[in-house]
Amino acid sequence: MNIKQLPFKNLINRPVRSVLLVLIAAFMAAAVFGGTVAASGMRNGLDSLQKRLGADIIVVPEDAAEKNDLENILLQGTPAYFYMDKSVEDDLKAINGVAETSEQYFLVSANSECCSVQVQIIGFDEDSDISVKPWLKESYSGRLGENEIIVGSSLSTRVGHTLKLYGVECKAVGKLDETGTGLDTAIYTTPDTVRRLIRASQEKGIGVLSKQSPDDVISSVYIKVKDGVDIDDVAADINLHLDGVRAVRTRSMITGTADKLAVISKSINGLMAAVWILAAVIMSAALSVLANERRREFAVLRTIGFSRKRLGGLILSETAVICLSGAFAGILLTALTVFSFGKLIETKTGLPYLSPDILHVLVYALIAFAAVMLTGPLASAYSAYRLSRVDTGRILREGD
Amino acid sequence: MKIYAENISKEYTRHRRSFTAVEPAVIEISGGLTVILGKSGSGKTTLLNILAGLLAPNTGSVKYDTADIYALSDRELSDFRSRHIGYIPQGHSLVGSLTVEENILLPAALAGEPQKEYAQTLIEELGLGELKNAYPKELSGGEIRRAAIARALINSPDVIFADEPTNDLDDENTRQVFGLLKKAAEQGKTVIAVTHDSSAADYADNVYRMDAGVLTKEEGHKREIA
Repeated sequence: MNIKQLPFKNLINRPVRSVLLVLIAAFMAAAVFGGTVAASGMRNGLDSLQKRLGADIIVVPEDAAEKNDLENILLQGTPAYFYMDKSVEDDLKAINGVAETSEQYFLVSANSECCSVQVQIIGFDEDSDISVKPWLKESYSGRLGENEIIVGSSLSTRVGHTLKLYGVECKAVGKLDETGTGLDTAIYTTPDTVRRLIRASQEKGIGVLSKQSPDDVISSVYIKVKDGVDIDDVAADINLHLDGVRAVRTRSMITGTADKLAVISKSINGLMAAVWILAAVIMSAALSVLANERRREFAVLRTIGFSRKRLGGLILSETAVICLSGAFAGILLTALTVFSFGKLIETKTGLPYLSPDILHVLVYALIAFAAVMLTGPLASAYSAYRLSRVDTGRILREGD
Repeated sequence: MKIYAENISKEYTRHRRSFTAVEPAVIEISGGLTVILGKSGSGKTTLLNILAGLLAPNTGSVKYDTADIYALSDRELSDFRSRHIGYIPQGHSLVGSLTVEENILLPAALAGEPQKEYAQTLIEELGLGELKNAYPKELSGGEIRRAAIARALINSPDVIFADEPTNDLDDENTRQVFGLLKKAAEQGKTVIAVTHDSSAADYADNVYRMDAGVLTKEEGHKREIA
């Protein structure tokens, strides 16, 4: 018999009580850890989205801007295609304040070719690109050859394997890092390859482009404005002087997403605080009730020589063990849940979600751990104080 | 060890009215088995707790040899109780989460002095051999009382206090318990038991009677009221 074993023995021999208290602690840890990880994942998703933009202005066909949700297409990779005359890019270069332009081509894969769902195929000019390449470089630094593609992180295709797109064998030469957006399911390639794929679609009669030659069209133009020039002025100039196109400020495109994210983040923080407070109150109340039930037990311990300090220490030790077990279980289960269902969060909320890296996860785990380890003993502090001040004589003389 | 309580008294408030549980009393006990007899509510447990260092009196002092125990800090008094006093509370007094053996060893563990062998001796002497791994909820009243006695003896204390040690026990268990207390007294310990069972006087070296808070010594001893 070692006196240090007493808290463990007390907990083990009262399994129902102990498990309930551990569950409360686990609930508290799960709320704090899950909340911070989820909020961080969404923040990371938005950061990734912002990085993805690169350009100041995106120009698309006017009817595409009216008919489609550009934010979803350009930032979330929702499969869609639209085209405008290639000459638009030269017209844009002539607009005052435009520093760089780069065209992109969109195409949607036919069903059942490579993937279980349609995916967006994006053609970008490797020489002039300002929005895709800096981000692609993180995972692929070479140059794309004929019919070579780079696949998003969520596609099952491995590097070196080939995909058949509109009957054309395309070789995957790179795979992107996760962005936490729908672009993780997109395919990236050169304009030449996209044009080849458009021709192939025309030959198959799928005909994404019926009248024009693929050599004469582009889908969008990404624009970087000169330093010191007002981006809104440039966008207004484009909309005023060029017919049939629409210039959209990239920052305005993510405003909706950022607003939604802010609301959800606030909700998560509110929920996290509510759960934490509720769990702390329940734990405090439960410990207080249990302390009352154990008055006689503690009076008996006083008779054999437990000092008030040691009694208080015993209660705090029991609470610490409960909180330690609860925090560990809560954090572990939440980690498994959050990381397993990150994609589901993205799908259900329609917001970009990118799981935080391991270092941040460890920091959040430590924060949750510290929150529970501080709250538990604080919740039991009053009970510990009350029990340690128990009037042993009065309790023992009951029945005298 | 000599216990000398001088002018001790205790008042309580019940339903906003104060009443005196122990009238001012002087008591000196040194060795042997002392039994304090009294009806329920007579104040005998209060007196026992005051003598055991568990309940501070309103007036007076309690000295063990020359040490005034209520002048000690809580930590010092707790340590003193752990090393010099064995206490057998009335009723169920074992820690429910510990086995019989662990309950008996608890005071030794607290004092940091493992007494495994002595615990085995006590377990055998008190007929708890087959029950040492049992939990309190599996024991009868008599078995619980015997385990509490073993726990009170484990640190070889100088003084043993027993509060209604035979309450709810049958005649055989009552004889056994008082026999054990008597044996401890014969081994040089000071044993003080409070009980309403007048048959306890048969085992006692000294007998006191408590009535409405007033302590008197029986068998020709003079009444010791301050």
